[in-house]
Amino acid sequence: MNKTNAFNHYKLNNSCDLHIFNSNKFKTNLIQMVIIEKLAAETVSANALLPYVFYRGSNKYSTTREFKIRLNELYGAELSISVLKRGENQLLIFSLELPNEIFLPDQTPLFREGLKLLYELVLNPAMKEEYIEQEKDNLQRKIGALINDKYSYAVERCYQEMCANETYGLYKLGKKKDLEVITKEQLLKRYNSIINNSVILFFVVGDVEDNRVLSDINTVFDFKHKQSKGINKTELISQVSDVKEIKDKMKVKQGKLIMGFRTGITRGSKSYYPLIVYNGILGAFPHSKLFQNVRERSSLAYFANSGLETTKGLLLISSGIDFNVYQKAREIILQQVEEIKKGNFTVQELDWAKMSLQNRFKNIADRIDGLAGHYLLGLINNNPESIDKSLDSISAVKREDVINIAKQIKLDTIYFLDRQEGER
Amino acid sequence: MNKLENKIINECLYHEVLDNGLNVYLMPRKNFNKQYAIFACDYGANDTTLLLEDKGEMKLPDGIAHFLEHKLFENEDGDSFAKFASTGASANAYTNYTTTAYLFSSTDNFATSLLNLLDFVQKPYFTDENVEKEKGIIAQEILMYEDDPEYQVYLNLLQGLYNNHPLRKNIAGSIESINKIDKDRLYLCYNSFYRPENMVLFLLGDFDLNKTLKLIVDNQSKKIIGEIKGVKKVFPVENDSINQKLIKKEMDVSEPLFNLGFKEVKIPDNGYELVKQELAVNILIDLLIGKGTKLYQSLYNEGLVDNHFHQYYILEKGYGYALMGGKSKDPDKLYQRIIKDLPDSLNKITIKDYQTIYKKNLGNYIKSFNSFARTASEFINYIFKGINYLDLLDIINDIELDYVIGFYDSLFREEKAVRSIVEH
Repeated sequence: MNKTNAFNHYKLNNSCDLHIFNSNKFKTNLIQMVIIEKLAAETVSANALLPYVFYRGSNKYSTTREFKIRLNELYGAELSISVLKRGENQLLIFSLELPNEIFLPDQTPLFREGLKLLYELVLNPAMKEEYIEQEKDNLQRKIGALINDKYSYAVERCYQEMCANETYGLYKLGKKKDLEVITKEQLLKRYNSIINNSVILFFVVGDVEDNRVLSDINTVFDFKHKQSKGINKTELISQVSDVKEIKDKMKVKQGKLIMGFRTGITRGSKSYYPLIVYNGILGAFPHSKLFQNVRERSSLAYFANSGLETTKGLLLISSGIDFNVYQKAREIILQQVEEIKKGNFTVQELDWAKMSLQNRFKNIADRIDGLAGHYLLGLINNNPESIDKSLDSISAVKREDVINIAKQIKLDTIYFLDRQEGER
Repeated sequence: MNKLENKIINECLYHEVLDNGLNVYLMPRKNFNKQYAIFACDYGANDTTLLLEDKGEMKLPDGIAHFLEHKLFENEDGDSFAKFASTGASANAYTNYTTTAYLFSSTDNFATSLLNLLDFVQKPYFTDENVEKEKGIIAQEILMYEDDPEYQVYLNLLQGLYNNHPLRKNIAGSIESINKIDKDRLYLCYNSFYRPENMVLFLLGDFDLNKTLKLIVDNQSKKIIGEIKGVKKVFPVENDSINQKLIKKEMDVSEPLFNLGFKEVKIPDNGYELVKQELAVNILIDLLIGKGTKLYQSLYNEGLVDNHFHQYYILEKGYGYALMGGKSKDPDKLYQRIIKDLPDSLNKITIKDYQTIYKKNLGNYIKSFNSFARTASEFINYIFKGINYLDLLDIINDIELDYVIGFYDSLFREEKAVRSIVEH
């Protein structure tokens, strides 16, 4: 099968890594610049602020508006910024997706123009005082706005409590308090440190020629950089002494129950594939135990599922429930976790989980951003793999492997977002 | 089979009307791992009043189309999710105001999944017991949306814009209305609307064209579906004026969320004109307050909007509105500024701005074929308006700046404006 072949790796002149995936099935080409920083209390807020300040204007495109007009001229090219957390790494991702020139009426060299725009954004920012001040305020508001989405808020609170004494407990966008006091000087210092020393990767996915891409990026991204440090290693914890129980109260109509577990297993570990199969049986799909038992059999919830963080080694179960079924829902959920430990799952449940996972991986290979994301997660965990390799590894998972995983997983924190007293 | 070719995106679409009236569209896509199928019915949340040939007009409980969508997944021999699980496919469904759609994506065993899809949608199995059980699940879905401020601010906007139209109601209905749903009412709706001539099947991805069509033809030839003929949808008379100027709601949010809507009263009957107008006013609103405009940039600089601000225009048979929305520190001041500055923004539009937006729309159209889910949902949306999505560019090319500007005066009037605000 060549539909899921791998990335080609190149070193750029400035020592950054470039990963190219060739495919002519997409209508667009994707360029990503990924900055990987160690997650740390001292730097998390300033790092998160940078992309938003970049987007306010560069020395050539002096306002956001000018960036947007330029993007429209490049046939609706999309330039997005995102700040993510993967394990104890903070990621700043700059993504540019452009239509492939072959579909356009005039043969504008879009790819190269796109590279220049990306360069302007990240390497030629204006960093004006007024931009910095306004984006500090915007980012603080963005952090505050986490409470608007009750589900995401509950998930974040669970992580925060669970990893209160670990770096992972930091929010990916940083802290309001820190942002308040950041000065232009400090931000510039942070910027220079990132551009000079951080791990910087480039991804290109699309209908491209490797040599052209390599030479274009080398020409356009001509900046001084010395990639001295490697990707930060995340602290893994697999033992739990006491289960924490946390309750917050808010004006809500539905309770959000989040349970955090320690797996201690990362994307780079041998146990990674058994773990994702385990999660498939437990709660990743509509045929999984959680959906079937919490929703279909007991009618307690609209959603009940489980998900993994595979750089820090965590598993989270989430469900939206009525306040008065808290105990019952909790019991049913924990019972599902116990069942797998005891080996109480059928051949069918195992096969279905494996097939659904393989479907999911093959789907990733059909998405331009999915391909880059999958490979990036592998790189962060020091085990980059092709999707074909992932498919084979899923096939090889056995029943005993799943039971062994189930025995290792420890409940750490139970979080419940409850209604305020006196509410209906 | 009818072959339609689109030279811009370099794809072909095949069309066949089956003996039972079902419209089948097939779009083979090479080099992908995936197949995607969507089976959609021209029946949605708005269709709650029916005119029956023998019984006359009948009002059904709000949320019944969505309830039906949930219940079709249950068959006499079990849960349809299980059948998809056994092929590794991932199934889902959605109900919006006008349409109900069932879909799956697969990477193996496409034929089996396709037959599963056709069979579960076309074999309803409603019992008193399984209808009762679903009420708990849907109640939690309704409560989940009640905690979602973005959905609440939108729902309230629709209530302000409309006096009698069913758009005023939640797609899923209310806890009271779903309690009135029983198996007889579900069968009545099913048999009235889930008739092959009222449905469309759209497939795309990696499959054999002729084999797939034969499979569908054989499957459909055995089926007699939808016994109730001649059922008409009835809509209450909706006058041109708005219902309520300002609606406020209190929720736990970090800062106010606002939606500003303008009620459309000029609604063409003809599908081509309808779609052309919808595209044109979307261009207009982008030229007035999109991210490439001076107006947006100044509102942003003043801190009145953030980068989640969005604007769009919806036009369906029987209703339409323009919407601007986001978060704001001061929604009252923002409203005053928009009303005051829109005319000025209109006067500043140049032919160059228009050409730039054209390029953006062309690029976005090309890009929409990257994602199967996006292509499929756009296709379904347009086909029920009588337009083939592959012909959309012809309509875009038929639009001129004067035509776009021509919609301004009747739509963007203060007496047609409604504000919805959610605040703490």
